[in-house]
Amino acid sequence: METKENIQTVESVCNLADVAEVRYLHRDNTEIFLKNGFPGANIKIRQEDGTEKTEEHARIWLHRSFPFDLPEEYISVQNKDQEEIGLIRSLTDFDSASADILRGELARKYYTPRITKIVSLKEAHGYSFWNVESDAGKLQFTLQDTFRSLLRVGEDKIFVFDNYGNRYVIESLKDLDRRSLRRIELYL
Amino acid sequence: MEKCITRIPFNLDSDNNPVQGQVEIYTDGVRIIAKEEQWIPMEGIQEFRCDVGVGSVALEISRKEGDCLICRGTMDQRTIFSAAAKRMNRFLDGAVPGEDWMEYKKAVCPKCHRPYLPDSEICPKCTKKGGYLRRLWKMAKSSRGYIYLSVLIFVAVAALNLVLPYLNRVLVDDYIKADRLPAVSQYVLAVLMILLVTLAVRLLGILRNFAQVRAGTKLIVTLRQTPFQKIEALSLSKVSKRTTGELMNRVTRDSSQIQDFFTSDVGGLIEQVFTLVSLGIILFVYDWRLALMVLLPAPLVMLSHRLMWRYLGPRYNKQWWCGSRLFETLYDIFSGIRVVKAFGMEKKEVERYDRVNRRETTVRITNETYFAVISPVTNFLMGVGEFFLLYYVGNQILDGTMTLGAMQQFSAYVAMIYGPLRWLSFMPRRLARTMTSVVRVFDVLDEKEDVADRENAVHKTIAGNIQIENVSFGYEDSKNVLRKVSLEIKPGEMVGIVGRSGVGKSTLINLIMRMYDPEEGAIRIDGTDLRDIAQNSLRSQIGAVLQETFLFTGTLFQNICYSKPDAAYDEVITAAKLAGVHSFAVKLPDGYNTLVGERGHTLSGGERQRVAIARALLHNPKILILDEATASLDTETEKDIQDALQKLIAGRTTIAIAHRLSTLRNATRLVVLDKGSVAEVGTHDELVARKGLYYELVMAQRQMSKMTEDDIA
Repeated sequence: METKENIQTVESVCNLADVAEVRYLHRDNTEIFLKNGFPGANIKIRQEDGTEKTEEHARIWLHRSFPFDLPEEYISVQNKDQEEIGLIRSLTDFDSASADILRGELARKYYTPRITKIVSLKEAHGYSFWNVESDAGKLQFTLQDTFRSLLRVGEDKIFVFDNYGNRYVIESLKDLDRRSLRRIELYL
Repeated sequence: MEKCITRIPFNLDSDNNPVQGQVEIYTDGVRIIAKEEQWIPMEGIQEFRCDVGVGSVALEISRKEGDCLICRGTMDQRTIFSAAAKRMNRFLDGAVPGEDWMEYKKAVCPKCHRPYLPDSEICPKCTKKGGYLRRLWKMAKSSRGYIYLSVLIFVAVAALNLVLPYLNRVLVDDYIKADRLPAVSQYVLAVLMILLVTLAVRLLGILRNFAQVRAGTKLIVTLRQTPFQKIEALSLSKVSKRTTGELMNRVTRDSSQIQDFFTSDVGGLIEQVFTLVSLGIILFVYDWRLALMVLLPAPLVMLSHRLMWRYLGPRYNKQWWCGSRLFETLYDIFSGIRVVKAFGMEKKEVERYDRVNRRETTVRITNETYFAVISPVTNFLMGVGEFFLLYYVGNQILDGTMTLGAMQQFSAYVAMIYGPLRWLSFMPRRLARTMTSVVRVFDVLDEKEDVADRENAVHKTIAGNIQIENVSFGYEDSKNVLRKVSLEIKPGEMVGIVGRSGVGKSTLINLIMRMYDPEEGAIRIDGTDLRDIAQNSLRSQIGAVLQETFLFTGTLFQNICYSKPDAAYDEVITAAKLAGVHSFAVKLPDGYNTLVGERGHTLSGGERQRVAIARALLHNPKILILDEATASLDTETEKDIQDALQKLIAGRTTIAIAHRLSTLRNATRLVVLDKGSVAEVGTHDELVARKGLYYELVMAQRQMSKMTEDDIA
């Protein structure tokens, strides 16, 4: 009696992934295309009776599940109403042309200039005013609560959020020059 | 070329390159001007949309053949894009473009290009400070007398402090070091004088504290009351865009910052300046070389002080932040202790706390080390003047041109002169912090009341007829939540509003309660536009039972009386009895005097709703609004409450929202909303027979309840 119950529990744990019904999208079941500059997808679905059906999505929306840790993995693919159509485990599950389409769309949605140099950083009235150089040129922005607007990911990657919700990233603290590093150090 | 409706600037192209582009929208099409020009005809455009990404926003249109990008921008463009999309959708719905559609509220200060303080149009850098201070001075009217008094005392104390070294000198030169022995009585007199001056300084100090406290308390009452009253008067939309914490800060923290400034800093400033100036004069009059020698290091002292704080300030800031993180972590762990124990994570949490604790300690140690090294250096610099003085004065004493007493007097003055300098070097920081608070307080005070009473607003008794005519409304985002809604509700009728979540049911009710004003169209009660009825007159005749009932800290009795504070005991009990409160109230040990709310007796969800119904019954409104009044209750309790509600509804115009359709079985008519518009109107039977949206909703719910029935079987 006891063993039977145990087996049942083990079974139910194994089935969790099935119960959750996560639909993973990859090169074998999904075709990615670009239409009017927006990505779209045709997804092959195996129906209950065994036949295959193709679901056509003229436009898809992408959402990173782990925007800071895993920018190219676990991408939620959604429709206009933000309902998930499927989940991409990794962009490498697609051929390079499709991956580039997805990458381009992610880069647009998650527009994040890379900061290469902090030219000046002044604090006043509880705000900090930043002047930086980035891959998008010289930028000026303001943070509302400096400590809370910086997010450290891993050892030396820093995300910066300004008061409008713009995002900037310092890919590696090690690559910053000494002056820039000294300016930001006080807030880490 | 047709008329231009609006112009939208944008700053990103579709490949994420920064650009400076502009979109011009005409009545017949959209012109996109960046490196190249593009023209999209208006015909065929179904909708404008502001697609908010995570680091960028996009303005898009949808057409039959698919979506199309118009322009992109960084997040600072978001308000512009969403406002533009909203305006254009209204245009597509047939609204006439307004003259003001060309302009967008700028989010940055036009002068210094820095962003405004959040949700305001105040630049922390460029606002004229003088004007604010003058207004503040006006607000301080009632406490001005005490402020004058404390300033006067500040000056008097400073003056007496200057006299003391002089008396000391007289004592030394004329009596102690005198060539012939002075009369004892004269000596005693000099000592007495010193005693008297010291005593006077202390007494004046007490008096000054008294004046400060008086000035302060009077000021703080005004400072807290004014923003509080203003916040209460503002519309829901203005209030809800700020967090509760922020509003509380403005009422409490900012006002005490201002109070501190007025009561101690202003007086202190005058005292320090007075001391500095009079000391300078005394020294210069006596011996200009001596004065120069003393004052020469002064700029150096001030500079070194400022440098020290510029260096240490941010470091102490970091220490403060680490400290508050420590506190937060502790709070977090303690409040989640059940979860911690349930998953056996005690050890991990100890480690987490340890990490934060260690970090704070490291920062603290570093800071203390810095301070320990830096402060003796600046202190030494401050004392440098005294060394010069000692040398100069020593020479003079040896020459016989200066007496020992005079030397003592000047040493004292020199020691005194650096105090004000140090104090003044902090002044800009203090002033800046106060100005931020002042600006924040006035920001609230200057906020325009967007749902203000019109000048000729009337008080009128409502019969209960509600006419909704072509009402369109949207919140900040680009979409119109309500689109051209028209509906008439007759006095005494009960209308149920149904529809999926997010179709605008609550918005419609908010408009009827006049939490917001419609953008297009009008709502009339008994033929009078809502905007022409005084708000307090309107609200006194509308009652609401909402999904969650908030109980204020107070007794059960006070909570029922909230809508009618002067209600008699009999009335309260009648209302309580009808609502079903009485039955549980009399079982409580303290009856109606039971303390409820945050720290009081916890009432169950059903009991809370009954209190809300009792409140509404006592209020005796002409129009009753039930917004998911029974949604959070189980079916059994709901049935009981329904009976209570039925007594409340009788004879009143009632508008009810409910997900559970069974709740609306007594409604005379049902209105089905879909995508912000009225889709169907009719009785339950009519709508079911029509097999439309309502029918689908009913079927979906029936299936749900059938499933549960099957489960039971």
